Amino acid sequence: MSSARRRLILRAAAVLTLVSGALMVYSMLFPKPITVVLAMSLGQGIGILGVVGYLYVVIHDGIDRRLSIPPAPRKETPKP
Amino acid sequence: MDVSTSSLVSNPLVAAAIAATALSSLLVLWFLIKKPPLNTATKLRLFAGMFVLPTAAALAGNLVGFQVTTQRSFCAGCHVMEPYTDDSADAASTSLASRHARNGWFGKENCYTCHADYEMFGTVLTKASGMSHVYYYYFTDWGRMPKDEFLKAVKISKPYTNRPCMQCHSTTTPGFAEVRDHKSALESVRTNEIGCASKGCHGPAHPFSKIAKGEDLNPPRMDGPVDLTPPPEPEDGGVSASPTDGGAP
Ligand code: HEC
Ligand code: HEC
Repeated sequence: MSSARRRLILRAAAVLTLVSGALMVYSMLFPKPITVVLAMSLGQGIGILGVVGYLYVVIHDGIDRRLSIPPAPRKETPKP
Repeated sequence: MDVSTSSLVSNPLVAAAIAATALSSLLVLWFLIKKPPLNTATKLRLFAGMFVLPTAAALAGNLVGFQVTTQRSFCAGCHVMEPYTDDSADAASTSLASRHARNGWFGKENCYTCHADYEMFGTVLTKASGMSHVYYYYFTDWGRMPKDEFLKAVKISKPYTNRPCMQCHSTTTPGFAEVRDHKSALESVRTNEIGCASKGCHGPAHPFSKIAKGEDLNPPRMDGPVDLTPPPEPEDGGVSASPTDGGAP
């Protein structure tokens, strides 16, 4: 997965987290049937989607790093 | 509005949920605005911002949600329910539901205490059924009905059993058994053959329910005619009620 794609997914996931949080806070400030039901269904679904996006990126990132970057022996660069 | 402000001030769960959401939003906004490199530190911050804090907020939020949905004021959020909630709030009303609205412990959530059986609460299945009412309200004609039309159309989704009543009225106190009709009908009451809230006993529970439709969904099903003369003694530890006084003022 390209790093641009990773970023895009992560940013989308971040926005989802914001939306989900906003729905929940709104439902607490204005506890009407529609707000509470939306927060507890749609809001939580959106939040979970955000987490899934995050995990997807982080796991892919971890795998890619392991595959593409061989653990090079660290050498102290001689200081001038 | 009064629900929101009072719950904000007095409910630590609301404060906790809002604080967790605020922190989470800060971390996420930081990521969106600053566009930091995707290193371990960023990942950890996002883990907190997108998983740990939102999960905490959701847990607290769900608890608040369950509390809020037990309130009568919540039921009043759908305008078609207002005749019911207004009746309960009316201190002069003699309906069974309204008489259960004056208790300090559960008066503000009286709808829930009698309807918890199948409404938004309890098992996941009944919760889904409560959700479906909200869906009907917002997305079908139910929500656009004038109140008087709604009162005629609304129907309890399944026959009301005595179980909710018996969660509070155990039917085992000496005063209960002293009431003549209670004594003769005790087994039928416990086995739901006779509905406590049926017309002629203590029902209908709402001034509108059966009377508006001229039908009784919960008829007392006894072999002989039910004796409806008021009992001479007060029933149930001083709680005085005559069997015929239920419901319609
Ligand atoms: C949440 C507990 C609870 C539930 C559920 C409940 N009750 Fe009650 N009920 C009470 C309490 C407490 C009182 C006394 C109310 C008061 O004095 O404010 C009472 C009072 C009554 C009275 C006497 C009212 C009066 O005018 O003195 C009757 C009759 C009655 N309940 C019937 C029922 C029936 C029928 C049901 C089921 C449809 C039911 N109750 C469900 C707790 C409950
Ligand atoms: C004392 C217990 C009790 C309380 C409190 C109570 N209900 Fe009921 N409710 C009943 C019973 C029993 C029935 C079904 C039998 C009947 O209508 O009398 C019923 C039926 C209903 C129905 C269907 C009406 C119909 O004709 O089938 C609605 C709607 C309803 N209740 C709403 C509410 C709302 C809203 C509140 C709170 C303001 C509330 N109830 C409080 C006991 C209660």
